[in-house]
Amino acid sequence: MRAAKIIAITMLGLALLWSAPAISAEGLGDSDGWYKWEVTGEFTCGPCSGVTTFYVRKEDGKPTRIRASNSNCGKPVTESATDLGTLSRDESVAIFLDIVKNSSFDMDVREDALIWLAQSNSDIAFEYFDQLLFDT
Amino acid sequence: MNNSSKFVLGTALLLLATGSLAQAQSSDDESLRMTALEALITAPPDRALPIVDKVLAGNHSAELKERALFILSQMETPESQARLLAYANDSDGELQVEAIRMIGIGGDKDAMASLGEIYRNGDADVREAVLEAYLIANDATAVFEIAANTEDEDEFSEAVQMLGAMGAHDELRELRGRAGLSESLIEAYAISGDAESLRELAMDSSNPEMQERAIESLGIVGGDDVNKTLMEIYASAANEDIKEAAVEGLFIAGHDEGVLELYRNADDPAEKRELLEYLVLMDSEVVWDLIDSAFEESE
Repeated sequence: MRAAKIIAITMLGLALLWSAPAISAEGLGDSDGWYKWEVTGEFTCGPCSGVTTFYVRKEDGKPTRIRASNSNCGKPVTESATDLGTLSRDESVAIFLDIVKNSSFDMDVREDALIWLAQSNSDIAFEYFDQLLFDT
Repeated sequence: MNNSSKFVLGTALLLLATGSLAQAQSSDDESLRMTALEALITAPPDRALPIVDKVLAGNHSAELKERALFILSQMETPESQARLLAYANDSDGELQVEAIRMIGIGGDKDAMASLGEIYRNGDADVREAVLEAYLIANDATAVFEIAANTEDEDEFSEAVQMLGAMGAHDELRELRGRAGLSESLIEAYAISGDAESLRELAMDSSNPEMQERAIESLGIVGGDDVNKTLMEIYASAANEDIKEAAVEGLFIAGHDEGVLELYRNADDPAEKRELLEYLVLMDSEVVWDLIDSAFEESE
């Protein structure tokens, strides 16, 4: 019985250790649904330029989708979205980094966040690329 | 089960569970690394290039390096193309071969032009990779030059097969004029679907061996016109070898109705037997018609 307790406590400890924190509250709110914000001219999106609007959808407290639209490319999300106003590039990068680094999130959304980080032209983002690819 | 046994079992289960989790984590990390590398296609080249360089120079998996070469091929900057070319020229083994293929995928004009020299100085693997790069970039002229200028039969054959896969009718026809006729050229006509050249050769009795190969190869091209031609060749054949080549062509083309017609028109029992054997080999339904007819006649 004692051994079973030890195992149960160990497993609980490990589970707590592995459970990642929720997405940064600095960037997004707690409730589910779409969140949107604008970034001006800081992301290099092929033919896109000017103001980019990012959309992140949260379900069950976790981000599940990322979309972006611009006057030249991408379609805006038509569903209602919580408007976070205008964020800086670094604030946007912080949100995407939160998503990529959180192993409890779906891989698809983490990979989408990586793609936007690659287009951020941000030192912080590329330091993360370096870390991801070369730190073992 | 006593307490110590339970403890050992519990620990083993825990270790198994942690092992699986660690494995899943490692798989996610590798997947993220791959996506990070691929995402660099969309990054500004001055940001992406140093990272790609570092991947190629480092101790990474072959798959990751292969992706890095692909990123280089898609960056379309003079620096990235120069790097790709350097790997195609100076590296060795699989990395060199992949770099050459990626030049084909990228299709950069200057990089493509450099492949000729790499081919001339390369070993068999390098040469094969260069031919593949030409195939990918659909550069039939470059492959034609290799075929036209070599005196090595194997090299000629490989280049000609590649032209066949590219469907390069004009280049293959010109090679016939330059290098003369060969079995590999006939195969390439068949692969490229050039029924016109094969039909011409099938009617030319000056080289019986090549004539027979051309007749058989018509079957690879197939189609109603080819079937008709093969039937005509069989009907007007000057000797048994031509007849056999024609029926071989019909067999390759899968034209069982034609073979049945020949069978019905044949008077010679040996010829009938041979044609029936072909029908059986073709797994043709018409064989059952023949068996039914035979029974009806006997009744």
